[in-house]
Amino acid sequence: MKKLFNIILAVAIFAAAPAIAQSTFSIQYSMGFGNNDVKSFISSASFRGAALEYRYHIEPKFAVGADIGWNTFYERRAYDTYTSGTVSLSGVQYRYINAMPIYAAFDYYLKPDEKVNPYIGLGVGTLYTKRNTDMNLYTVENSVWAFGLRPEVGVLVNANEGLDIQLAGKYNYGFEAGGLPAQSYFTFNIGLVFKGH
Amino acid sequence: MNSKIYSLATVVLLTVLFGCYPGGAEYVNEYDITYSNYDNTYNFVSKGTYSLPDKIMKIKGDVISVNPQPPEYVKDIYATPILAQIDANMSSLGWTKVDVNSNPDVQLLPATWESTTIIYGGYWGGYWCWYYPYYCTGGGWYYPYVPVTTYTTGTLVMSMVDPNAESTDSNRRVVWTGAINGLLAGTYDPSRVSKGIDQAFKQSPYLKTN
Repeated sequence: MKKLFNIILAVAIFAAAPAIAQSTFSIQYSMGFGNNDVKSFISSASFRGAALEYRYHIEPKFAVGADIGWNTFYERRAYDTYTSGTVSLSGVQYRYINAMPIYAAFDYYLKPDEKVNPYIGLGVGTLYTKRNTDMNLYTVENSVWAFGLRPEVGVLVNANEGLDIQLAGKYNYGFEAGGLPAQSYFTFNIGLVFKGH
Repeated sequence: MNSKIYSLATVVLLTVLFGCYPGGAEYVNEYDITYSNYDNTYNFVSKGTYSLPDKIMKIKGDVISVNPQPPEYVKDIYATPILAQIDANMSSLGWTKVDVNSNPDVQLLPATWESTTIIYGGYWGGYWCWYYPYYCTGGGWYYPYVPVTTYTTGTLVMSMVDPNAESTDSNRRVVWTGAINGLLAGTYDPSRVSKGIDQAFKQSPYLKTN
C-alpha cells in the first residue's frame, strides 16, 4: 500500500508542477461500483477512491494526457463455510480489492468555449488489481496487471478563470490476466480541474 | 486563490482516503475458523465404533522436536466438556464409543496448541505413545491427504486415526482432521470452542455411519 501511495504522490507532484499553457491537472474523488466478477466478489460499492489526471490540450477540442486512479472495495462476509475439494473452512471473511488504473488518455470536448463543457474520453493502459481474501490471520492474495480500457463521459463546469468543476462517469475494464477473469467497475468522479496560464 | 483550493483539496482527499482505509476483524471471535479435511477414499459408512481418550493433549513449543518430552494435558475442567461435546457429535453421526482395547474402527485424538506450531506430516503422532504405547513402536501416523501445515495461536485439533490401516513403515492412517483455530483471548471462552466443535462435525457430513 505504501508503494501505491508513493506512486500517487509522485504523479501528483509531477502533474502539478508543469502549470504551463494549455495544460490542466485534475484531482478527483471517486466512487466505485463493481461489475461482473468484481461485483460477485464484493457486492458493496466503494466510497474510497481518487483519481488524478493530467491533460495537454493540443487544440481547444482535443487533449491528450495521463490518468492514475485508485479504488478500494471492501466487504465483510458473514460466518459461512467454504469448501474446496476435501477441505472445508468456516469463518468470517474479509474481502478487499484494490484497483489502480493507469491510462494514456484522449479527450474530446464538445463546447470548449462555454461555461458547461461536456466531453467524452478514452483511456488505454493497464488496470492493476490486488484482491485479498482474509480469514483468521491468513490472506489469499492475487494481484495482476491487466491490459485496460476506460471509456468516459463527463462535463466541465467553469468556476473561474483557472478552475473547472468536473463530473465524470467512467467504466474501467481490465482484460483477463494472471488467473483473474476480466475485472470491470464503474466510477463516478467529482473533481477540480486546475488550468495552466 | 486556486492554488489554495488545490492544496486544500489534495490534503482533504488524501486524509480521507488513507484515514478511512477499510479494516478487518474488530472482535477476537471473528478470527475463529474451523477447518476440516478427510480421506475421500476412506469408507466411513462401513465403520461404526470409535475410541476417545479421557484427556486432551496440550502441546507446547513451536516445533515438535525429534525427541519430544512427555506432554501435558488440558485441565479436566476444560477438557471434560470438550470431550463430551465431541462424544455428542460423534453419537449423532451414528458412531458408538468403545474402549480403546475393544478394537475400535477409529480413534479420535484431540490435542491443543497454544502457540504457532509447525506440523511435519504425521510426526507429532508420536506424542500419543505416552497414552497409547503402541504408537511408540511405529513412527506415529500418516496422512493420505495434505494436512494443514501451520496452526496459529489457540488451536484444538481432532485427528481421526484408523489404527488398523498401517502403512509399510507402521504409520497409522489419519482419515479425518477437524481443527478449530482462533486468537487466544484474556479469558477462556468455552462458547467459542463449543461452536467450533459443532461446526467441525457439521461441515463433515461424510462422517455419518449406518
